[in-house]
Amino acid sequence: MNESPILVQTVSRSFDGPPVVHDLSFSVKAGSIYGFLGRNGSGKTTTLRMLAGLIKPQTGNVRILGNDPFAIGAEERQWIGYMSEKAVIPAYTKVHSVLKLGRELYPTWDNTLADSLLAKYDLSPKKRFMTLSQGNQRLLSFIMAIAPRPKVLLLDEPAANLDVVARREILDDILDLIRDCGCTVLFSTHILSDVERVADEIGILAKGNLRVSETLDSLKDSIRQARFFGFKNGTPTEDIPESFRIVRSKTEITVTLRTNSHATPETLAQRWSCQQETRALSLEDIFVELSRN
Amino acid sequence: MNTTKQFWALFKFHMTINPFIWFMVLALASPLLFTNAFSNSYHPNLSSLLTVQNLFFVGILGIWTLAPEMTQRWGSNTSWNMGTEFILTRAIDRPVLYRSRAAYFYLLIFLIPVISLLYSLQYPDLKVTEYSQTAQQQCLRYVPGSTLEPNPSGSRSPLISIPWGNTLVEEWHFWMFTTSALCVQLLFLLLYPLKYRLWIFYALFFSCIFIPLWIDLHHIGTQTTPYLEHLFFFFTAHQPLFWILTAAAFILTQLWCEWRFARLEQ
Repeated sequence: MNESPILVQTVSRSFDGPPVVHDLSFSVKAGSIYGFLGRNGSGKTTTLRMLAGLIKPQTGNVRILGNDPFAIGAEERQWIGYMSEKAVIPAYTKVHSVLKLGRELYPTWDNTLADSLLAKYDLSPKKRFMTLSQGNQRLLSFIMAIAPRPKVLLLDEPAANLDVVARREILDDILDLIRDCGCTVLFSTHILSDVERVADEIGILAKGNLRVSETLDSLKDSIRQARFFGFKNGTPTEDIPESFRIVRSKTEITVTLRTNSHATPETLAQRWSCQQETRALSLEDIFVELSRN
Repeated sequence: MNTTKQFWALFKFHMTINPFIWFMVLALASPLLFTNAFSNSYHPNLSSLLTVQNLFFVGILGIWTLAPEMTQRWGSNTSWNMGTEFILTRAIDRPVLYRSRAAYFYLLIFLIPVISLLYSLQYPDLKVTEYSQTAQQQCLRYVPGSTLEPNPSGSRSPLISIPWGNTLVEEWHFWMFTTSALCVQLLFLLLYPLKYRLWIFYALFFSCIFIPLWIDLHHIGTQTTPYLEHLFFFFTAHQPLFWILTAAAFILTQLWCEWRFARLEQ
């Protein structure tokens, strides 16, 4: 197994306009779950589509299991499971036809797993894809992504349109898959509680730029919000390049920054001759702070 | 995975992907059946017989089966047609996916010409009025066994009698379908990456329908031979050459299209 089954190096991509993804670099360790967070239009889907081999990066490289995903064939592709954020399964196709295609294409297809998930999610094999609810459409797409027992699983908003129970079940199934075959998972989502529950590492994407990429614990430990007040020499106007966000008012400044950077809250308070108080942020707070314009 | 197994798995999947395509094939083909096979006792003239009114459905079925995403709105959230994104992200080789789609496309468009061709074997001989004297001479010269007969209706224009003429005309139709299918595939794969692909396709599609009609209108009442008749006579005179060239074009087009499709973004 490669050291990093998913590798993105200085990747940029645009579609007739400003870059959707800009100079993006990250990697996912083998057997880990990487949660990809970002607002709508932040570039998550574009990144996942590049990793799935649907589009090519304009600059940089993407590698899955050491290969260029756009150039690989069936042999290599059988180890990659992909679930799109869209309902991409043909509308009139029946559930059993979709599963039959999976069985025929993948030598590693796990029939027992597919059948058990079908029963668990209560999906009728005779129904056409278009007659399934949006949630059930997502579940079928999920089954198609994990039943081949992939080595790398790419999930674009897997829990969208799902009720809480189905969402929990999907997350449990992902964890089971990792336990069983050491699968590496990259999933994008808006649901922060899902990320907190299963992700080993988190990347937050804002306007095509990766703001952070690290473990959840490290992220929560290192990012703080500091409030500076009681300025003796007036409110300073200087910029803090390492900060994620600065909000200024007449009497105070609120800065979101890393505690392990050069500009710590203590050094800034000393420099500005003021008082400061620091508070820890939840993942949601960190996400909002890092994703805001 | 073995490419043959992949091909059949994908081909069978495509066959069940959209049941309405099969209804459309029957609906679009019904005029072809009625005008060419069932009423082969009367044709106003040879030129009308050679025109394939239903050739437009090669374009329509082509866009549905080979490049359905061309008709989809950018950023549309559903894939109601062929599920390209879904299939491309399965364990497949891209050229094999294109090959299976092309096979499905050929099955759809050849169904009716082949039935018509087989049906024509029941009534193989053709008698048809031909107004243009030039065309009459060319027909006698190039079409084996063709003769002129007095018109029983008393018209000044004689009848051209062509043994196996109906079968020959159906073979001609089959050739027209084949060449159109090749052109449609080339066109789609050239246009696919372009931003205004759908508009360019429609412009070309309607031009292909109306320009021949406009040219034909100019021939009405004149003694010149319409271009389709020229081509038909040439076709009948050099059939082996036509089919060899068509087979070569078919193989080259198929290989190029598979190569091109494998390099296209979705």
